[in-house]
Amino acid sequence: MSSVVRIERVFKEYLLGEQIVQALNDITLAIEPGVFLAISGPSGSGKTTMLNLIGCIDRPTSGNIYINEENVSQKSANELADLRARSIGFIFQTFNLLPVLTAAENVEYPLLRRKDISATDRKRRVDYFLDIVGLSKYANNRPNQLSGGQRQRVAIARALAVKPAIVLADEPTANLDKATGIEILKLMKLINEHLGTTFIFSTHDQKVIDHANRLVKVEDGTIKAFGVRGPKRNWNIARVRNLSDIAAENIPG
Amino acid sequence: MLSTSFRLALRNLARNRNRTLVAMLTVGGGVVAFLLAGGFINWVFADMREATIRSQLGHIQIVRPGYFEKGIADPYSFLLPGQSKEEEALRNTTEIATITPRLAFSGLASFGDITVGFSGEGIDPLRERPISTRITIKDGQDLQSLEETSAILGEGLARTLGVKPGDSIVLLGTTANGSANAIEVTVAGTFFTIYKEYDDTALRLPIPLARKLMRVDGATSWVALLERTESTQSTIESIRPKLPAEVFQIIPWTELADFYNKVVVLFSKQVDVVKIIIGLIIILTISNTQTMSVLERTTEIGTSLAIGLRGSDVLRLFLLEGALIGIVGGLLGIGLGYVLGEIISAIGIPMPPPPGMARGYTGQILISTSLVVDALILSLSTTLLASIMPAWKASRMNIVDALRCNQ
Ligand SMILES: Nc1ncnc2c1ncn2[C@@H]1O[C@H](COP(=O)(O)OP(=O)(O)OP(=O)(O)O)[C@@H](O)[C@H]1O
Ligand SMILES: [Mg+2]
Repeated sequence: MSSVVRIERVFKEYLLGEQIVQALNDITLAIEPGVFLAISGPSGSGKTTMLNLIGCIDRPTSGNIYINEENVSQKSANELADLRARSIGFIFQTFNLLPVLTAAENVEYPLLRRKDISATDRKRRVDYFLDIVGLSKYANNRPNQLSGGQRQRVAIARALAVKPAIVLADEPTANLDKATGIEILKLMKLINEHLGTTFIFSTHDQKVIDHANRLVKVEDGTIKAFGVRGPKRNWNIARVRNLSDIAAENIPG
Repeated sequence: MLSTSFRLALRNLARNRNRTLVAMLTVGGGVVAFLLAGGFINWVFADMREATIRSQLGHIQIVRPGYFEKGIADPYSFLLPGQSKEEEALRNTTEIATITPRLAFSGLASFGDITVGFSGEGIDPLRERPISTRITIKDGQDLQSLEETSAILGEGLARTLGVKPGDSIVLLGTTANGSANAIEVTVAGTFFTIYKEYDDTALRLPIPLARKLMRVDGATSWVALLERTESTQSTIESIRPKLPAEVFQIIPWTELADFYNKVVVLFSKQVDVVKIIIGLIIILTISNTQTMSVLERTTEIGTSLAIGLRGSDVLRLFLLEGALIGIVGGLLGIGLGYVLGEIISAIGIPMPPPPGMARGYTGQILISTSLVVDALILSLSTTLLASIMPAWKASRMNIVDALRCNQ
């Protein structure tokens, strides 16, 4: 089976003053479509960096990334923007809705650049996804008239509106209380199961990990373990001991 | 997409009301200043133009070819006929409000012990009257008919001679064959125009008297007044076929209004300087506003770029916001400038006598369509210019850094 995301020997360094920070250190990973994948690890381990690279909003220092088996390393900024506009949905920890737009307009926003989608189709999609996240009644509310959970639902609808192959969520529940966080996760899971959208999210919360069916544990910029949830909801964990193993071991399909 | 961008831009502007208001008021204030400064200069141009036309030049002068180059000293070789079918035809041209012959000559005027040189013009008092509305009679009265043996003198000339209305003076001239001739005329009145230099030497008398003094028939020029100054060029085109170029030269007032032309060049430069200063103030203020707006919206910009907008979309949004500030501020300024202009014009701006003029005047503000267009172009181009750098920076933002900045 082909992967929706493939990361091949990726390194990412940041220059912090004089110092080089190794944010990702030789990451190799393949993600099959339709998974509900959690990336977990302590603060500073490289979760966000990994999501940014998968989301094509950042470029690796070396190595290659493939989205739907297409190498994105050679693409120009505009090509990447177009790729994101079609294939990738983003959900942010801080929701990041545009404050001057209503819920419906926020959902519509990423569609506006898509000339292949007519105005009526656009409206239909907005209605549909607002309905899916249960916010039809709040279509005309501005973000500041919505609760945190509602805002994140709008963000989910916005991410889904382009019908992306992958939705990336960097700690989507970190700014929400526990109960709301669980609700949001359940909603994401439901969408994952019914629409088949691949979800990749980062977290350091065990309760959040419990909802995932795939797990990547990172530490100090390297993958320490892969996990696949078994039929009885048990985790089969494959630990990575040294760098050469990473290439050999992938998440079993 | 367009209407949504527009809506988005408007709402972003509405979001920080105070800042947007200050930005628009800056643009509006600049436009008001530009309109008032430009409008005043405009009025000066228009007033001076009409005063020049309606005291000396008329709109169009028809002379013998070369008259203005060589004929002033030797008018006898450049005389137009007294009666002609060409003049008749011109008189019946609809664009021409009035056409009248003038016989220009120079001579000496004597009163008592004093003799001074003058520039004389023989005119037809009645037909000349519409062209002389900016010749103001100071003492006495204007010339009334072709028959009278009187003259009106520029106030400077009258002062030098020491004459007042009712006095008799002797005019000495040279006839066509070179001999001297003299006539006695009564001073009917004294006059002034806006040009002191002209008033220091000018003397006007009925054309038959001038002909008698010079022993000639005819005129040195036919002077035409039009309904509208703007139609000068088109009228010249339409009368040209009626006047063969070998015998008639048609000269628009613009070629004769030397002083006016110099004033226009000088003052236009000054208006340009004012415009540049205002433009710079607007650019500095608005680029500051736009930079703050970009900084404040860093996360939004990062988000927009992340979810698939291109840099050019972001660029366009900020340029649009800049343009809206320019248009709204500009219209505001135009409205306010117009009202202020009307009020100031009603009150009047007292001005001292400019160089070369004997009297001060009361200025007004004349806001023309082209000035309004200029003001709009000024406000729009400066706000756009001011927005280019901030907008470009926004469009080139590093997405990851932009997204990190609110964490
Ligand atoms: N733009 C940057 N400039 C410099 N260093 C950076 C930058 N972004 C990330 N880093 C560093 O890279 C490492 C990985 O950061 P990353 O944000 O990916 O961690 P994380 O796992 O998401 O952490 P957290 O759980 O706190 O969000 C950290 O040491 C971080 O300080
Ligand atoms: Mg992070």
